[in-house]
Amino acid sequence: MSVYKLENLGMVYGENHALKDLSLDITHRSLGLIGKSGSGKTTLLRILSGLQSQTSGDLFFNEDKVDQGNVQGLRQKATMIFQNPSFMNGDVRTNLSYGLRIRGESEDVIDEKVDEVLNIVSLADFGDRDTRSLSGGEQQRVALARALMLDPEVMLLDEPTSNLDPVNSRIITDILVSESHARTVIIASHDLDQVKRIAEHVIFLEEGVVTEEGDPFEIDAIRRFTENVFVGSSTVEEGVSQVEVGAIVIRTSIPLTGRASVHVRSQDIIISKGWIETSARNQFRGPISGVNERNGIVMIDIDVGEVFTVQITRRSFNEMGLKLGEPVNISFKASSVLPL
Amino acid sequence: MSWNAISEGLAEAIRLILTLDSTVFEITVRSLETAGLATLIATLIGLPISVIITMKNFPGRDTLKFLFNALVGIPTVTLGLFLWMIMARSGPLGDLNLLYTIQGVAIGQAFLILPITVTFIVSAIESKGQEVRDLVRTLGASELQASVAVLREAYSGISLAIISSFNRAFAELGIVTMLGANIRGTTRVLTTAIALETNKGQFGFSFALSFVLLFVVFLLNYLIRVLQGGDQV
Repeated sequence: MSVYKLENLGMVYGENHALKDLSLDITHRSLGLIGKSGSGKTTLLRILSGLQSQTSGDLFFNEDKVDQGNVQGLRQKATMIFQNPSFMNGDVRTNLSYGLRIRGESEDVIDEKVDEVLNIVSLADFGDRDTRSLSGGEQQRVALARALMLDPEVMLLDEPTSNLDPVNSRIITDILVSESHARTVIIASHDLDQVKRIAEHVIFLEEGVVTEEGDPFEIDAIRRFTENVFVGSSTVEEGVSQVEVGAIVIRTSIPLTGRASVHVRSQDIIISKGWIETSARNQFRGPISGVNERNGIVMIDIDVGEVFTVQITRRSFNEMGLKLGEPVNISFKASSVLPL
Repeated sequence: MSWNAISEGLAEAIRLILTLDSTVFEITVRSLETAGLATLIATLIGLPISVIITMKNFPGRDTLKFLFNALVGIPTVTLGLFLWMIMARSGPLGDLNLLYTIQGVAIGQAFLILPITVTFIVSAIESKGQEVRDLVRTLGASELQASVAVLREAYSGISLAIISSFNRAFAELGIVTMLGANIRGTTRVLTTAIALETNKGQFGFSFALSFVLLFVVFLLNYLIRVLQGGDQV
């Protein structure tokens, strides 16, 4: 049975088509949404959670068509967790209690449930803490606990760990893996390892259209997105962002500050045998650490401190006479570095 | 004049406050009454308007917001003249005999501060609105429950809007002069009394009343801050 069914669903903001004629049947217990920023993931989650109405097409939840008259019913069963969690004034317990309190639950039941969910997110002693004094990771765990309080049929998560440190990120992912057995979990994430762990099915969105879907370990989009994804700390100097990733600095023309994830398409990287004078703002040198051929295209891994995968044709590969272990240069423009 | 008059005024102010001078007391209480009544009227009208502006989508919403924004800086004499013509015996509301009464002054002040009340409350709700609304709706709240939650979360900002409106009414001179005419024992308030005493050359008493005015403003704001829990204003 479908949890959600979308029929020619579209969403337009002014001139911008955030979702285009989407038809989907969501039957899996856990679904991953992947795609670049602006591909429509958040808009889709907001529509699925009932926070926003589509501008065209139909949405069905548990076979029932969702409209203004019954959307609150959807919102009572599907809870969204936002990238940046927000809280109401008060302590953790007050925030956790809100959902059950408006449902008229008794205080005894609420207290018991608060203790239970705080244990799940490993914040057992945090009930009396002011939510605004918590770290980002703790806040997101409280937000997760707040959703679990309601025992929702569906949990929708929008980049829940994108601003978190690895420890908190792992704690949340572990909980989501476990919760996906008890309810439907739909997660939008740039963390593809997280998506692979949680989701049994993945859809890849590009400019509001599903361009690929399937098993997270099989679909090509995952492979394309796993290559050349770098996470680092970014500062902006003279209009160029410098993303420090381990020992290297990647320059991008898109303004990014703080923690940033960037992606370089393998076909946008040029290999040369020596340093070249070029307008490209990124040039690194390192040995070839791997060579793979896929459908007549050669994928070369080059370790310049971080491993870049570069796509070239078989003919270029042969003409350059490239060999495993040989040091080469790679270069790419700042404008080829895309934020995730 | 100058520093001497100021220090004398300060000393006089302290004396007048400590001895609970009957004239000062009466004028101060009347100032509080008119500004309080004006703030009550402006809040009763302004809060629902602000809620509608922030939570409902309707044609002309942005224009209405712009209008209230622009009216924050309305010249008080212009508004005073306009209201005087309406309240005058021959005006449309002449039969209500509001002119030169405390009620008339309070209504005038309410008109003056309404744009401040609305603009500040709208801003307070908008700064919290969408985020809190999305949060509580996804936790299952109805539209009404969501609106209540937004108002509760914007409480500090709304209080600040009301206090600012009160302060503006309390310190108002132009409208009070035009609609109240500074009649002793009837419509004389702190600001009109200060203007009168200054015109008479009674700088010491003027300063004294000014310090009383400042003292009341500070005291009220401090009390509200304490009531709100210290650091929320």
